[in-house]
Parts: sequence; structure tokens; C-alpha cells
Amino acid sequence: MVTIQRAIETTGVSTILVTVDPGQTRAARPPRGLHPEGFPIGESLGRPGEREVQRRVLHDALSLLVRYPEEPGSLVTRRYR
Amino acid sequence: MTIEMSRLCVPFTPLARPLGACRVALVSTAGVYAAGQEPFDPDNDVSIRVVPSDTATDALRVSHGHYDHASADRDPNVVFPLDRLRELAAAGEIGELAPGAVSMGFTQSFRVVRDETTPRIVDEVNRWSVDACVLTAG
Repeated sequence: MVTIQRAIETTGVSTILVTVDPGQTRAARPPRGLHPEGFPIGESLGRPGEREVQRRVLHDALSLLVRYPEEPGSLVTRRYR
Repeated sequence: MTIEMSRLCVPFTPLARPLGACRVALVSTAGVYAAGQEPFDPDNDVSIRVVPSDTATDALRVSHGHYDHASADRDPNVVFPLDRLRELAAAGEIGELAPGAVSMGFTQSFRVVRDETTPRIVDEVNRWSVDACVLTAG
């Protein structure tokens, strides 16, 4: 996934990866990444029907495109519950 | 086009314009496809599907053999947030969605992904002249 992300970023497109596998993602050095803490694989943005949580995760992901508070290659971790 | 880069180097493209003026694409490896498209081989598939951004949520399907997609079957937005992106576009938080989302499934053919699938995905998003991509995995 990060391979794809890095390739897209390299062509002049800003990218943000939402990841629930922070260890593997960190090792691959993404340009930007958001890790919603405690979310399981298969629920990257929240649980089924959890519209407000899904919206907040996506809003945060997009906001990180505008301003990234970490070094590129590292992740931002946020809690949503 | 394939660009090789050391893991130590991190490509970084600042956002070109305010979010409210950006065209955004969703790119996902969660195995989501649209009803009527060929399902992904759940155990190994290096192909991509372009899911039209106006696809109805109840016409989204998941084919992926290496994560539990019971939640995504009930609500694809948990891995493929097309509804949420459409809402953010309607609210003006982003300018617009690209015409499609790029989707792939599970594979461990990493060399093929690097040499063939990734360039195809890059070509797809560049064809749409997007400013930004949101990426999700399964």
C-alpha cells in the first residue's frame, strides 16, 4: 500500500494513508499517515453505520494534507473513541 | 513510469491549493468493486478496478481473502469511504471527487505490483488530474 502511495506522491499528488497496521506502515515510510488508535483491520474508518466517526477520521486525514505535524515518513495517531 | 527511491527518502508533495478547491481520489486495497465488475480473486489478484464515484453504496461488493470483511460487507464505508467523501464534497470541504476510485484486492506478487500495477494506478489518478489521494487498506 505504501509502495503505491509513495509512487503517487512522487508524481506531484499529495497523499494520506489511513492505516490500522501502524508497525508495517511505519516501516515502509509513508509520506503521510493517520493511525486511528485501536481500530481493527477491516474497520479503518470506524464500525459499520458509525457515520460520525468515519467522517471525523476522513476529515482529519484531509486536514493532514494541509498541515502535517510530523516528519514525512512517520505516522499521526489519533483516538476516536 | 517506475521511479526507484531509497526507503530512507520520503517523497513529499505539498498540497497545491486549498482543500475546498482540490480534486480528490480514493485509492484502496480493500478488495472493493462495483456490482457488475469482475470480482477480485480473493487469494491473489494484481488487477485494478475503477469504481465510478457515483456508484450506489449498496452496489459495492468486497472480494478479499485475507482480512475479515464482514463489517465492510455491511457498510463499505469502513474501508472504502465513498459516502463520506461525497458528503465532504457536497459540504465544500473538498472541491470534488475524481470520477472514479481505484481499487485492488489481495496479492503477494509484490514485484508485479511494483512494476505493473502501481504504474497503472499512478496513470489512472494522473489522468484525472487529482490534487490529492486518500488511501485505505483492508
